[in-house]
Amino acid sequence: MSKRAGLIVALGLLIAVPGVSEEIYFQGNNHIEVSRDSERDREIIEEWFDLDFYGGPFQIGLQWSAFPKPDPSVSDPELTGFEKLTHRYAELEWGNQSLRVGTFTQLFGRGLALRSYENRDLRLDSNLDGVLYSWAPGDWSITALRGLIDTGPMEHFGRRHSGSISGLNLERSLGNLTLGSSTVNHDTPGAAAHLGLQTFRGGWANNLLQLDYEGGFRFGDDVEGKGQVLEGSLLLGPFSVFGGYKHYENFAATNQAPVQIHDQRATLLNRHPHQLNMDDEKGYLLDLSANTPLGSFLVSHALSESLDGESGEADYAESYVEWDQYFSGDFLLSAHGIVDYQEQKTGSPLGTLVDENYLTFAGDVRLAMKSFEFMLEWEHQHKDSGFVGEFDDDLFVLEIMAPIGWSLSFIAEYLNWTDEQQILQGEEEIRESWTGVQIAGLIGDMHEIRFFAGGRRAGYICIGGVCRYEPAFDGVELTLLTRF
Amino acid sequence: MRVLRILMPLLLILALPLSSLAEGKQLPRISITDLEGKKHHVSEFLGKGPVLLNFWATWCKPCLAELPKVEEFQKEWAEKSGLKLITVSIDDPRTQKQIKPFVHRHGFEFPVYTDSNQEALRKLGGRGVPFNVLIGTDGTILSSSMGFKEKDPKTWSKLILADNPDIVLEEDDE
Repeated sequence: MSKRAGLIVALGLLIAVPGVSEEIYFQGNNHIEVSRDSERDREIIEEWFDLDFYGGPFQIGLQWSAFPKPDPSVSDPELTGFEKLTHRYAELEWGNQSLRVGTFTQLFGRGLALRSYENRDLRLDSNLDGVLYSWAPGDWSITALRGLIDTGPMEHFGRRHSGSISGLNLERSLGNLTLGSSTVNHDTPGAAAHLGLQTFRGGWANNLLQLDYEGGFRFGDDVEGKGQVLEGSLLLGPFSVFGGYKHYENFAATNQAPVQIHDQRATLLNRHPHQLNMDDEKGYLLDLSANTPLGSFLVSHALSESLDGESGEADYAESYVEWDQYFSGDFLLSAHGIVDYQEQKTGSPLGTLVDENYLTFAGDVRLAMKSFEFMLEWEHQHKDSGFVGEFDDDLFVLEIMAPIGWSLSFIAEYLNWTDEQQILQGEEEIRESWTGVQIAGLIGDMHEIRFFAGGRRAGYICIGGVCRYEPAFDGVELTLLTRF
Repeated sequence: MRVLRILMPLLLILALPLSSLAEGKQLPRISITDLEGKKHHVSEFLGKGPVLLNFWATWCKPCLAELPKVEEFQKEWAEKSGLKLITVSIDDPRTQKQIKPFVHRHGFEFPVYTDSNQEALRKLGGRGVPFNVLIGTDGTILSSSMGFKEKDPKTWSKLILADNPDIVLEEDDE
C-alpha cells in the first residue's frame, strides 16, 4: 500500500469508528519562505505543511514538504528541489500505553544510546519510519521501537543515515532515584556486522542536588567502544555549581550525547560551535553562578580534547563570564554582558588543523516603557588564527517593538579583514559588511509574517523578539506562518 | 504550474478568514518531560484554572527578558483565577542538565519541563522561541503567539476574564 493510500485508510478508520467522528478535531500550520537571493542570483521557495487529526484515542498526522527551489546553503548542492510527504503517522493511545506506526523521532535517556530528531531550522531530520510502542506501568517506563532511518532529502548530505534500527529502553523511578537502561541495534546495508550500543544510567535528584551518570559499551562488531557521562549540580542559597564530565570512544551512531559546553546566547559565539566527536573525545564543564542584588553572574570553564591528547581534532577550551540584571519600576530595563575566550582547532581549507582563538564581548540593553520596547545590542569578537591572522567582527542590532505586535529590526555586521584573509578563510565572496532590516508582525490572529531585506551571515540570531537559525542570505525574503 | 501546485495549501489557507481559527480550538494531545525525565500530558494540568504554556531556551535572549514578566503575571493571576504557568524549555538534551542551575541563578520559581525534540512546540504551530499559549480551564486555546510583546499580559488578562465570567476583580485590579 502506498504511503498516501495508507494515510487515507487511516483517516477513513478514524472517521468510521463510532463515537470518535463526533469528537474529531485537527490542528495544523503552514510555513512558507519565498525569497530572492541576489548574491547567488536565484529564487528560494521552501514550504512545510503540518496537519494532525485527533479523535478519541486515535491520532494521525502528516507533514508535507515542498522545496521547489531549496536554500543552497543548507541543502545538498546537487538537490534541485522536491515535494513529498516527509512525515506521516497513525497513533493509538489507551491507558498508559501507546502504539505509533509511521514516522517518529525518539530520545533514549539523554541521547547517549539513541537520539533521532527533527530540527527544521538546521534542516536536520533523522526520523525513523516504523513502529514505536510505549508502556508506563506504575514506576516503570518501557519503550520499544523498530524502524528504518529516513533522513529525508533535506538532511545535510554529510549527516545522512541509512539502514534500520531496533531498540529497547527501560526506566524506573524510585522516589528521588531513577534507573534506566537502553539497547540499540543498527543494521546498515553492506556492513559486515551490526553495530549495537548498550547503556546503563542512574540519577538522583532533590530540590538542591542532582547527580546523573550514564555509561555504556559497543557490541556486535569488532570495534571496542564505550561512552560515559557524569553530571551534577548543587544549589546553595544564591549560589549554584554545575559540573559535567564526558568520555566517548568509538561511540558514534544515531545518537547525540551530552556535550559539556553551553549553547551560546551571543550571536557571534554561535558562528563556530564546537562539534562533538563521539568517537574520540573527553572533557569537562564547570559552572559557578550566583544571584546577587547586583545581578546574576556565571563563571564557566570548558575543556575538550582527543582521548590520546595528540590528534587535536577535539581540542577546545572556553572561559566565559556572564552578567544579567533587571531594573523595574514605571519602566523595565534589562542589561546583559558576556566576556568569552575560546581556543580551538579548526579545519583549514587545506584540510589541516589550525589553532584559532576568539575573544568576544557581547552586551545588550532592553528598555520597555509605555508598551513600546527598545533593544540595542553590540557584539565584538577578535579572532586570531594561525592560518589567516587577526581580524575583528562587530555586530549591531537595534529593535523597536510596537504595542500592536509589530517589530522593526536593523542588523549590521562589519569585519575588518583583508581580501587575502577572506580568501584564506574560504569565503565565497570578498565582503566586509552585511546590513539588513526586518519587519515582523501579525495579520489577524492566525498569520505571522516576516519581511527581511538586505544581507546576513548564517547562524542562530535573535531579531524581532524571536530566536531562530537563519541561513546565509542576501536579497529580499518573505516568511509567512499560518496556524489553523 | 508546479510552483502553483506547491503553493496550493498556502493559497487555501490565505482564503480562510483572517479572524482567529487557531484560537478557540481544543488543545492537541501533546506531552512534555519534567527535569527528572518523566513524561506528562499537558492535559494533566487542565481543569483547575487556565494554563499558560511558555516555551523558552537558555540561549534565547528575548526569553530571558520576558520570563520575569511572565512569572509576575502568573503570580498576580494565580489567586484570582488559579492560573498555572508551565514553562517548557526546548534546550537540546545534550545541555539539559544545565537548566536547573540556570533557573536558580536567575531567581525563577516556576516549574520547568522540556520539549527536546520540539514536537509539542511544532504541534502548537510554534517556530522559534519565545512562544506563549494560553489555555482555558476546559482545554480551549485562548491565544498563541510567537515572541513577547508588552501588551501580552493585558491581552491574557482580558481573555482569562472572558473565559471565567465568575471572576470578580477588586477595584485596584480594574
